[in-house]
Amino acid sequence: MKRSSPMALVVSNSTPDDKGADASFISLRDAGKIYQTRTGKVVAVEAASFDLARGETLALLGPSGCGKSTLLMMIAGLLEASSGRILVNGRPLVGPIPELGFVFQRDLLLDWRSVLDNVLLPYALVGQDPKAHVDRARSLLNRVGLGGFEDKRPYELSGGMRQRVAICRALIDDPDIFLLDEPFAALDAFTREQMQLDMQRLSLEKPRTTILVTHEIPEAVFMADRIAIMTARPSQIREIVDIDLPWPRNMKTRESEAFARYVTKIHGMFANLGVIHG
Amino acid sequence: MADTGVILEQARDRSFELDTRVKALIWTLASVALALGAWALLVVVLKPAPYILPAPWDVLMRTWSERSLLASHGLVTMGEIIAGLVISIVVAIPLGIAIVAIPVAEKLLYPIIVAFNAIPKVALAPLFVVWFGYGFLPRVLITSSIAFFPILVSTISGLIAIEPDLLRLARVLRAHRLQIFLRMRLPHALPSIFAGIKVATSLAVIGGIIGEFVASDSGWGYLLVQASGTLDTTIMFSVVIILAIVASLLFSVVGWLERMMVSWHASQRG
Repeated sequence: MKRSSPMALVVSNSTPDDKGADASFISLRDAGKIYQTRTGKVVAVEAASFDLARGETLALLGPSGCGKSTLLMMIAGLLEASSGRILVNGRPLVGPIPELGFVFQRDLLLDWRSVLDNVLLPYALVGQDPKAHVDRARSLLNRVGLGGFEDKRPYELSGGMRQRVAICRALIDDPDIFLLDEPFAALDAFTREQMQLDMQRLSLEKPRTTILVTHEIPEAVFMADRIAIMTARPSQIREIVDIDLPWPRNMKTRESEAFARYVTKIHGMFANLGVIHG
Repeated sequence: MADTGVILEQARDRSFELDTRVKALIWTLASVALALGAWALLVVVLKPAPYILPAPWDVLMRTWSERSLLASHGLVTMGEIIAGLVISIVVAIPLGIAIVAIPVAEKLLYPIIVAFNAIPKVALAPLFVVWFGYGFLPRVLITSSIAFFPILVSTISGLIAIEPDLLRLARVLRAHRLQIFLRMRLPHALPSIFAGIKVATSLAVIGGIIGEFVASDSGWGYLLVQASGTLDTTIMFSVVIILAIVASLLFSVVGWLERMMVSWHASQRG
């Protein structure tokens, strides 16, 4: 029971020339990244391949150094793949994709701007008048529980609140693609769990094709339709696991037997791959 | 909600703020009283010759009786300091921006700037006299050449110290170069630029006085040299004390400007 399949029908603005666009909205074909250093070649990502349907959430899960962030940067168009191809909506990637929401591990809020102006930053940075988008910014802030904080400065907020503002900033232009680079890694365990729940509410307005980079197994299981199991040395995707848990996921989901089974199963996979050893 | 978000810094209680300000003022006055008291005690106990150490009350009386002389020379010195400071700000900040923004400018200008910075600026003073005579101009030039470098260096370091992730964010948002500069780099660099201007302010005072030592017929520095020739220590003390007061006032003005412009920065949030 994936939320992607029924909801994909609602969204019809995909390119008509490409019939498979919804089934493989983001598509990687042996996409790899090699850095040339003085001591030789360093393989950051080895030939990664997967297809991501419109509205689907994929987690890139693995230990640090497995190239998951590099892979995300490549999909965002911030890094050029040194081999293979990356297709978004049927088109090869050239530079940062438009309609992209990107959340970094650090919130990267600008201290000299109010919360509202931080959410509206994307317009200011392209020289557009942000006034037309104030209502949407306010409603986004309301939805993440930050109504009434519009005029505060970022330094007046806690870490969790700041990251919420950063998420609102990423969603202000209602992007089709949402890329999250360890977005909750800097938060405490309680705040993290809350944010994982809250993220679903933000996906309700339309299905966003989401890629989440994380090193937390339960986070990946809770938030993703599919999980790419990644290892370091070699930095590659070893397997892709489907997570067949019903949506919307809530506190009960975490307590369910199926959830625990997935966590145990994936933990075991990492153990077999030698990532965790006793 | 796990993160109910406690507001870390609320607007502080007004009366409490006033109270701390009054307290700070009292401590400042106490500190001044201590210094003056120690000075007076030295004079009363040791009874030094007035040309070695004049009494504080003599200095005060002399300052009052010579007030028009001190003021007219002071006007010259203040003019030099402020003009020198303004010139160095107006030249150093755009130059810093150009060096960061244009790679050719960096390659071409940076070695010159480093070399020029290595020169003790005081050594240039006699040269400026040859070129520009004993007027206002050479003294302003000496002042600004001394005040210039801290502003330039702090502008450059402030502009390049931006986090790579912030620039990645700008790329994701397809930001325009000019907007990145105006809305990210420049505000980000402001605290650093102000730190440079503060250093430059104290250096400008030094520059103004040194300029007058070398190339002048007026100003407090000139007055000091004259008084030294006639062993008029009392007037020298007047000038030095006034200079200290003026320099701290100037510093406060810059500090106030800083608070206005970078109130969001950690250094301004007490």
